[in-house]
Amino acid sequence: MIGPIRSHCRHGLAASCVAVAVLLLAISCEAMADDPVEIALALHPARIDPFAASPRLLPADPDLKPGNAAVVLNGLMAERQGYWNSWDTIYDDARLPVGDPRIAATDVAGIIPDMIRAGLIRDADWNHPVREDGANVYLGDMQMVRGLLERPLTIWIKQKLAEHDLAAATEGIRTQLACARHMGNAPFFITAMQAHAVGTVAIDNLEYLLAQSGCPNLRWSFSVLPPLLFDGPSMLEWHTRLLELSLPRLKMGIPNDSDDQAWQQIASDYFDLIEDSKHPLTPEQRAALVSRCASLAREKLVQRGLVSADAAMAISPEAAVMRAILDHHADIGRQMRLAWALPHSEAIGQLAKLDGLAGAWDFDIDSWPLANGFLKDFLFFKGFSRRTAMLETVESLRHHAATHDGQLPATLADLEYAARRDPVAGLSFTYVRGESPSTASLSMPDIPGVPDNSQQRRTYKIEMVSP
Amino acid sequence: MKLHTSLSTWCFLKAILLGSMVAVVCADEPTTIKLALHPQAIEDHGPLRPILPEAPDLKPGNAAVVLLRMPWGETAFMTNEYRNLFDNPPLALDDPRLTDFPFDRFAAQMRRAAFMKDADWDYPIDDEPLDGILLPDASGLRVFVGTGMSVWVTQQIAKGDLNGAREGVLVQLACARHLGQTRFIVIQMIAAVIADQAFDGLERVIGAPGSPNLHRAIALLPDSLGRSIEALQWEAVIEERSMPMLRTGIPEAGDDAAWTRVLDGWLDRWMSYEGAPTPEKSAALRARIATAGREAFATVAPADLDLETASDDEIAMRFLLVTFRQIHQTAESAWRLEGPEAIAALVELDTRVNRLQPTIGEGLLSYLANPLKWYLPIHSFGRRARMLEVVEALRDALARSGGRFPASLAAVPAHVPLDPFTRQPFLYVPSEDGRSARLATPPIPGVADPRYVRVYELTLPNE
Repeated sequence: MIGPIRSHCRHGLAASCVAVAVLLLAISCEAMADDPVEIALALHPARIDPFAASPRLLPADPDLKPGNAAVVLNGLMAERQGYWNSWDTIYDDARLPVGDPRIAATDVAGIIPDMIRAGLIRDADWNHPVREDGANVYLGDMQMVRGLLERPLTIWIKQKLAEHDLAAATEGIRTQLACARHMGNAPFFITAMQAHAVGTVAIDNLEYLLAQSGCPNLRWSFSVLPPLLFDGPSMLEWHTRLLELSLPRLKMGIPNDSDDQAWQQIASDYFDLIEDSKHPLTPEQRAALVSRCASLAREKLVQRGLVSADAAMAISPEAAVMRAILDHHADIGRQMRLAWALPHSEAIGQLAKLDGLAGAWDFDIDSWPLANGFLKDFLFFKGFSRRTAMLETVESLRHHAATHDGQLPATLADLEYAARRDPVAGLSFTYVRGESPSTASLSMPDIPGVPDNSQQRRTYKIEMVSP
Repeated sequence: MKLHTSLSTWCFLKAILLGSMVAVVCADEPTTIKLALHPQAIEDHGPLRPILPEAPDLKPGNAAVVLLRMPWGETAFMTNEYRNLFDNPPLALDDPRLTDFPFDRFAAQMRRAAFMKDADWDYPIDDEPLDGILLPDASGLRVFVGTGMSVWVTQQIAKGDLNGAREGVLVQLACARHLGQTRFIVIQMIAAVIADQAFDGLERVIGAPGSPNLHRAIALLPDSLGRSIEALQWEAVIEERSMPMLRTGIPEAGDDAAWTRVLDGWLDRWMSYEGAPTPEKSAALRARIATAGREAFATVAPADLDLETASDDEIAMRFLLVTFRQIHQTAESAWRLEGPEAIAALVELDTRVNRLQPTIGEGLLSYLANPLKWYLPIHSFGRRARMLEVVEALRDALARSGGRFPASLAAVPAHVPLDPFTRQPFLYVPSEDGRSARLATPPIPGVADPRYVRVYELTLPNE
């Protein structure tokens, strides 16, 4: 007896693209698991100067030059054997705090100028053969670029912070965000996650920057950052078509129900796509699994009004199973896109429902790649705008302290420059001034309608340092 | 002289566009549309029938090239037919002169352009002066993509080809999006005007018997087309990239001659809009600006400015530069906010800018003096989309509940969006017998302009 193929699917992703699994693992470890996060921020008061130009954290369009940043970023590691040899060390060192002597000792400067150059290029065309290969596109390039942007560049930023060269550190962070935006130009859900992951590291580095004495007030700089570092609707359009692009026979259109040979090919390609490459099913095992699912598939097709009961009995097991999977996939994809187009509060409700719908998928064969976790993914991406809005509020607090002898306000309503609301929760950030007027905590509010285990809470324990 | 001539062209274009927006997007009075709704349920599954091409459907190529070459070799059309597209007053779309209007070959080319991935207009944005760039191509395309395709959509509806008509709307929106790839706010406005004409066509498609329900396709439309944020960023540098003395560096504090030279150049340029400035007029204006600057800087001044010793010209020019930057910065951060918050911030900015107008004169401040004027038309795209989404939700309700308008929007089974400008429900009032209804945009706080009011008077087809 063959078990369900659901358990294979997570690994099946690795079969189609090794980088994906690595990335998912990395993201789940670094970005998704931490809840709540508490950060101690020792801040220096900084006035908003109406006469000084605020630095941009993403290059403005007039500052960009023609070119293809993907070429520059992919070329970063050419002729740099030293980096390959010390890669593990670089990975570890990037996690060290600012000022750690091991950071100063790590030589990363060689690749920084090209990264900065890439950040100032307008376009990034990654030329992935998505139309030809669908999910089988190898994304090792993106994983490597992500690694370079997160690690050596972070080391360089921390070196500059330790040297108190705040302008250079800001340029490094701007480069991280600009290149994350370049990564967001690739058409995959997974590359959007990579772009977001790099952006998240840049925001971490911004927290370090804000804590430096002499850091100018960046309230406006935060206010003009985009909510996402990729084009959400475009990414979803690709993501919801990825399955059909990955099944070559579908490029000729949906076959007739009676075209058994075509449906067998589609089923075979689908199994190839989602199976664990280390433990593939034999043709006999596949046939048995399909046969077991066929009656349920026929029921689903009839329930959905796609075929009559009589017609359902006439179609082959492969046609029934694959049609049911494709219909389910199309339905989920459509609802996912519609949900993302809604205002946040409504989107959250719809995505929670969609998770329920996907959870009710009772096939022994999973519906790849739209299987589950829709709300969690949405909140993961939206974390970027929540964090920048929170930091914008921190900058309003720094301005207040600068104009009130280093003291923080009793409430956020007392701020001269208004606090931002949490853009996803639609609520104010939770602010509590400490016993001393130079301390406070600022927290993300819980997002209504989101289960406790999916909240991504963040709290700043703020201490305003005397000038 | 070249600078002034080209500047005039630029601004002339802007003036035309603003006039167009008044005429097309929002007439002087609230726009009222009578629409007969044929009940039609939203399909639970089946194709989405998109009204904007999706990313995987786009092919490599530069749509700008395809669009711009359309008139070439079309001497007969351009001589005999083209003017019918912009007669004054415009011909009604069902005018017999347009019924057989020969536009199929242009529609086919525009369709090809619509499904291209890129639109690189290759304006010489890296050359200077920036405000010397001429933009007549975009204005011409508005006639083809906007009015011409609207005629074509109407022809398809008349033939009963609703799928073709929907695709015509898609072509208009896709080409508007292509135009929106440019970095000029005026062309964002042209894109908005074309999109508005596309929505007019979509209303006619929705009102046609047998039209499938497009609720889901409309729900996927974005809040605006194009790259208006990038365009704002370019507006913010137009001054410095058009006036060499600004690009080569702001003068040092106390360098009276340099500040006077910058102010001279600036005043010459801006005052030329209203004819050659007289010395008296120029002197009076610079004195007024200097006075305003001294008042503003008396409260808080740049660290390197000595109010006692600085010349009037330095004070005036620095006041202008600070004011520009504050306007641009406020506009860009407001643009990032959601509709109600963005409009509130821009209304407040508008008030501040308007207070300066007695001193400096309307239009003299900056290309972007009143960003609210740009924000509202550009983002009206999302507002019209959401309102049509409500109309389609009502058609679905009609199909599901015996052909009578529901008592309230809360009773509508399908998703009913809020007005993105106010985050309030659209105003819906059904008649007592449920045979008709009125759907209107809610008032926008701080915006009294009746041009931003849209009303649908909805009826059943046999009423």
